Amino acid sequence: MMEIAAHAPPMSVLIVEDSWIVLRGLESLLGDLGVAIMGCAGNLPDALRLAQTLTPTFALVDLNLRGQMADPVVDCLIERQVPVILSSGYAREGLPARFAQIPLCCKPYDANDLMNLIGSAVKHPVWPGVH
Amino acid sequence: MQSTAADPVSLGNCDREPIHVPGSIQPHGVMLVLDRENLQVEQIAGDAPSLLGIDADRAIGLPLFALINADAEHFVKRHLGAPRSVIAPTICLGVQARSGTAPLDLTMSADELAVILEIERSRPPRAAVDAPIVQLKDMIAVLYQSRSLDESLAVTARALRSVTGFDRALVYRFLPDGTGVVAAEDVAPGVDSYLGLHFPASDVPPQARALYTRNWVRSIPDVHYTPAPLEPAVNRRTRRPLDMSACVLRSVSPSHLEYLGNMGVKASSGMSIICHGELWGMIMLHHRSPRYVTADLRVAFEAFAQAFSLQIEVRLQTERTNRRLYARATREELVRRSIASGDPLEGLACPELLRYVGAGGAAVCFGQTVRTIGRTPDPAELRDVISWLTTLGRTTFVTDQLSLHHPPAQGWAPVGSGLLAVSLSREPRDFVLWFRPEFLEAVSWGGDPRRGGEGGQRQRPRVSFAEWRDTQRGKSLPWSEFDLEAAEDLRVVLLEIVLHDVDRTRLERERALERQTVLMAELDHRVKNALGMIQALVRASATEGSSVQDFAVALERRIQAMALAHSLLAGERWEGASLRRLITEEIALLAHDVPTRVDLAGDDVTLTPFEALSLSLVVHELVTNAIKYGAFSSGGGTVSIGWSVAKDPSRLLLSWIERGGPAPAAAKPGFGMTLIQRTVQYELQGTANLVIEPTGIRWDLVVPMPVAAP
Repeated sequence: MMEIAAHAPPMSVLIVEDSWIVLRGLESLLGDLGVAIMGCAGNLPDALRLAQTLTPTFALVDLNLRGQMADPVVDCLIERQVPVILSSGYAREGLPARFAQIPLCCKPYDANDLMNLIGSAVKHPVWPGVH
Repeated sequence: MQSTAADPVSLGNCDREPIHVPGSIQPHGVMLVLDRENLQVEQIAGDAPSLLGIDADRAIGLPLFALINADAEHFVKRHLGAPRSVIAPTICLGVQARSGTAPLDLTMSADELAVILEIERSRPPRAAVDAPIVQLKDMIAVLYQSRSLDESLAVTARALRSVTGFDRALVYRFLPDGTGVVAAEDVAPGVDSYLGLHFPASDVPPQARALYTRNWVRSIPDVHYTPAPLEPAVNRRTRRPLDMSACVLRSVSPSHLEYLGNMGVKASSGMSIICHGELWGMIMLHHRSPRYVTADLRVAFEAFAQAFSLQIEVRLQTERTNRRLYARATREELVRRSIASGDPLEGLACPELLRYVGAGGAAVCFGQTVRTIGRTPDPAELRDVISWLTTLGRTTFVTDQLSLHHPPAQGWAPVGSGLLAVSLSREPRDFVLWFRPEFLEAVSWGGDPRRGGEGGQRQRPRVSFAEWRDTQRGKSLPWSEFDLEAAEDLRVVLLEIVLHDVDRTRLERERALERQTVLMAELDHRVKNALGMIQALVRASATEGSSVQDFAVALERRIQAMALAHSLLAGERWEGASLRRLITEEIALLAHDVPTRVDLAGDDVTLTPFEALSLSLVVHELVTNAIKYGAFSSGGGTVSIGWSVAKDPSRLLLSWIERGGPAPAAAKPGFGMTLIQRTVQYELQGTANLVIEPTGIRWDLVVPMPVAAP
């Protein structure tokens, strides 16, 4: 579980998630993986504000925030070259086509999946539309 | 098929028989055990005088080339030169004994220390059309003529009997519970049929199955043989009895011979059907007089058994896919009927519902209405089983022996030994129930004394059938993973339909049809999100509970709270939920077994789905805390819940005031308290304030409401 922390500089994350319970679960899961929580937001305005100001190692973004799509948050993070992992209860087909290349972590979370996704997102970030 | 006939008292005495080390062989051949280094005979069994022209005791210590011509030694040495130490049986045809005249076939196998040579007479020369390779070609050709699994089993039985000339060819298939069924058969005129008969698992004991998984072909040319002992019994060099697992001359269990004898079988040969490394079934050949299967034909059998097994594997895969496709099509049909008729459960009780999971009867129970199809318990019994299921409080219940869980079911075992039940809603009285009949009654058992009649003995391979049968009373065929998967899929779909069945209009029905796909995707999304929540709840509950029991209870209740909000919302098509209902139902759900006095004051407010989900968790924690420490804990307390919507900015003000309970201790911030405060702050951008007063605690919640209530 500590592999990431042992072989790389400490990582930090911005979490965009509208459920406090799920956020709390993620904090504990990511904590176990050695990732520090840089910030978290549960609604679109807060998320946009943090996406514009924070520069975490990566961001974990739930695309559906209380019924509002968080697309602008993802666009902003991509623009600022912050690696993004999408999290969603939707399957890949339910997501906007321009996010097709972005790693997707389906709920409920699997610690191993999440760890692998973090590893690849950070090593090989995908920034569609940025040339 | 192995039997327990030798000992009618015990069903299990075959289980421990070490059939791979019988210490003797079938006497139509000769077995030589050779030292791997110098190929000298160390042990011998069988009819050495007629096959090798030498007495057995004189052969001990002789080198192989002294008994059989140089071809044999070349054959053995060539195979020993292979880089592996264990050599699977391999044959050499038509060698000559030094002192015999008949051509011989050798079957050789070896391990690190010893070589085993099995020697049999070669088949007499015949027309080329009888050559095993031609027979094999004929057998394999039919595999590709069949379209379904059942058809492929049937043509195989026909082809094998016609090619080999045996009186009976049958394909025996193991079922998930270990019992077996004759799935296909071809018999000569006048030969008893076993087609469709089921046999107890004990007929093929575990060690026999293990052996059949290791080798492909068995043969007993004459069941009335006298076993020829291996001499000496223990190898002087290796000091162990000989493992004959790979040997075709291996003497078989006396009870197996008796079993065959009771069926009127004089000769038998068998092939294994092995799928994904497991014994899926067997092909069996029976003859009413002794019949010899030569070494070269056995090789053809082995090749055929392997090709057939692969074929079955492919068919099974196809069958699985087809089964899922069929289930999906049936589900769509059931949904279509439900939506097309005004009553969502109208039209569900149809034959498709039975075929959907392979049930003998089904009951659709919705509210006070119960509709049945097929063979089910009578209405009073159904009501009884429904109220029992209600007490279980589970969404799915499955058993192949209902009377173990619900003793009254003994009374209707013939129609309903097996039960698969799914609940259709949060209301615990809504179910779809599928029944399966008692297995014993549903199928015909090979060896059942009751179906003996004239010449009954030949239908009775064993005498201990009645005892075994008593252990099977009240059991149905087990439900498969497909049945469970299909039932669960239908449950989810029906759940959606039932929950949406409020004030449905024709227009909505038409829209519903179009939206079916979208709905399913939505439902999937919600279920996944709910799973995400549950996962987080598991983590949270794990840190607060003092015992596994507490943990389980706390977790289950939080999940119930979430489920409650979900069903309230679903009832309103996820457009909103009533605050009053959310509070009253949450209290009813949690505090159903404690006396509660509640004052509610406020005009009803419609919450958005997200407000409802968040508040359901908050109210849940409020109620839980009141039961554990507050006004609901002592019996004399009251909770006053008041709310109003204030303007500019539009916000909901909600107060929760407890009085008359035990004097509150200083607030220790537990998980429940954190959850209330953080959920209101984080999810609702509101505030939650706890005030501790001498008369009880008081919570004040302020939640911004973007749209004022009507």
